[in-house]
Amino acid sequence: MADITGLSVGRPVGALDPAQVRRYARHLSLTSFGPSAQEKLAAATVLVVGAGGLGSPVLMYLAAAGVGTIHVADDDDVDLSNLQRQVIHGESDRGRPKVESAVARLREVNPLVSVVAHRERVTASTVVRLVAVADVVVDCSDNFPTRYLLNDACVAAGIPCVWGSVHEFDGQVSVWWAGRGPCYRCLHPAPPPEGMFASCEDAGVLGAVCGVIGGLQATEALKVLAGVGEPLVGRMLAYDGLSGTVRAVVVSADPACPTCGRGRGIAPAAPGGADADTSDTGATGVGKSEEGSIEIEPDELRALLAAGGDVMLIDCREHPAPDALPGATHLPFRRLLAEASAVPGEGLAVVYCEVGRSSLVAVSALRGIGRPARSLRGGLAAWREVDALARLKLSHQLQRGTTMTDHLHSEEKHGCDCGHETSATPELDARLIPHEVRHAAILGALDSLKPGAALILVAPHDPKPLLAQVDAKYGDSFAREYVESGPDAWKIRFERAAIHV
Amino acid sequence: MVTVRLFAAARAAAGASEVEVESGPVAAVLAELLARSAENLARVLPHCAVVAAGERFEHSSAAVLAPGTILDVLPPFAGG
Repeated sequence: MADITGLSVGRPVGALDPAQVRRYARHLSLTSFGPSAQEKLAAATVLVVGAGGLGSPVLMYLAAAGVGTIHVADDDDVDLSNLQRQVIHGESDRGRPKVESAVARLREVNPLVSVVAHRERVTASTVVRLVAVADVVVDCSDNFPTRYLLNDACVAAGIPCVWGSVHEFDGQVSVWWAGRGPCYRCLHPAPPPEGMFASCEDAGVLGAVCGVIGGLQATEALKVLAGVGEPLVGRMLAYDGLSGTVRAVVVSADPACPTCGRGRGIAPAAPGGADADTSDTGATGVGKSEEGSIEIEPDELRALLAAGGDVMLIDCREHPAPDALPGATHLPFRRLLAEASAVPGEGLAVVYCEVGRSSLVAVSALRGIGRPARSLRGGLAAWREVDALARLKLSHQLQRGTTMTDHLHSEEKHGCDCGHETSATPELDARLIPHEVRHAAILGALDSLKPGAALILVAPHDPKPLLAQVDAKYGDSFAREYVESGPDAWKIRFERAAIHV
Repeated sequence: MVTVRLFAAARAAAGASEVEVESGPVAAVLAELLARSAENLARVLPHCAVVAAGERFEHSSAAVLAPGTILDVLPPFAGG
């Protein structure tokens, strides 16, 4: 159930009272703003989704400006690592729900406005109710599913979505307003694959960039609510903090947009499938390539070939070599790029090179001209590694009587019938485990650990072994997460566990 | 020539914020962009919106970009 905490402090109706006149004096003296615009702000309701990096400046400026009612939705708690950019929260707020901390701060910023806290995540089932109250939505969320949900709900409600987004030193801002301009899906019809673009938590962000973009969002929201100026509709500002440049990109409404265009109604207003449920951060799909993804895992290609699939194999290395895969056509990288359209056939082309980098470029070029193509992930090097593993019986000491290979390939076994009475510290050499099953292997190994026990992990590209030790204090509540976004980029996060490196 | 403007992760992956490419069909412009950029761009580009004069193009589009066109390559990002 939603946790709705109302904070209502003397919201005025109609003309401004003396306290408001004094407080908003610098607005009232603006020639193109004045009392009528200020009265519109006082009568307005906004929904701010996210009380984080962008939400912090947005909420404070909207409250200070005198927006009558501010709804804020966020399900997160304040963490120490938030404070570098989420300036609405302070040291004493650590561990507190963000909406609670934000409400307290906003009460201090401006007691004349009402703030309604929604300590909940925006999901397909809550988005319509949340958006329904608002004249304007300010999207300060930090993930694609929420952004698509908000866009679609705003299109359905016919209200503007003041959208901002940050990544490292970059930020983007626009006002999506179907009917007057494009919606978000006119620019990006569907979210990218999960994990393709890292979040602030994973990739980092210069805190002050949130101030730049959040400040622009607040300005746009105030303009739209007060009816002044020209809103940032049909244009997107792209800020590059490193070079100190702002570039404007014109974006038009797409008549074929599935959400706001002629195609409307064909696709559901609320996105389905992968982008429907923001709470699903499960491990499914990690390390696995999906149908249509630009890369193909060695195992998947092996299965495809074994099933007699219609695949054109292209070896794009510079010179023909005896270790080419059976049936492969040799087409050097440069020639492949230059003559992509001359590649025979129409079916799936799988391109490989030694390590899977040139082939990735070649595949992008092939896809650019409409040819279905995928690049062998990790190239022939990975293919050979998996090949060797298929023959190798891994007899690790995780539990007696069960080989590592058995353990890896039976996910349902995790943490169940493992009679792990072993007293020795188990060792998991991730270099020996194929990328596509590594995730399951490591989680399985962790699950089989008892409190107090430890696991030595050897990362694929890091010679330093990691010793993961389950903290006895937390026993079964030990939380662990293993994240791998690619064969070269992986990390392990052990929460509440002692980690010795 | 077509001026390809690269943003955020696309700029980082390509190692340049602008690349001049021979004018021609969108697909050919993108293929040449890939050939002339750092290899990491190949990983990012398929997920980018490609926009010229406000219009978003499919990456395989045969629509011809006239000399002088600015083509924007915009990766999605969701941080907040």
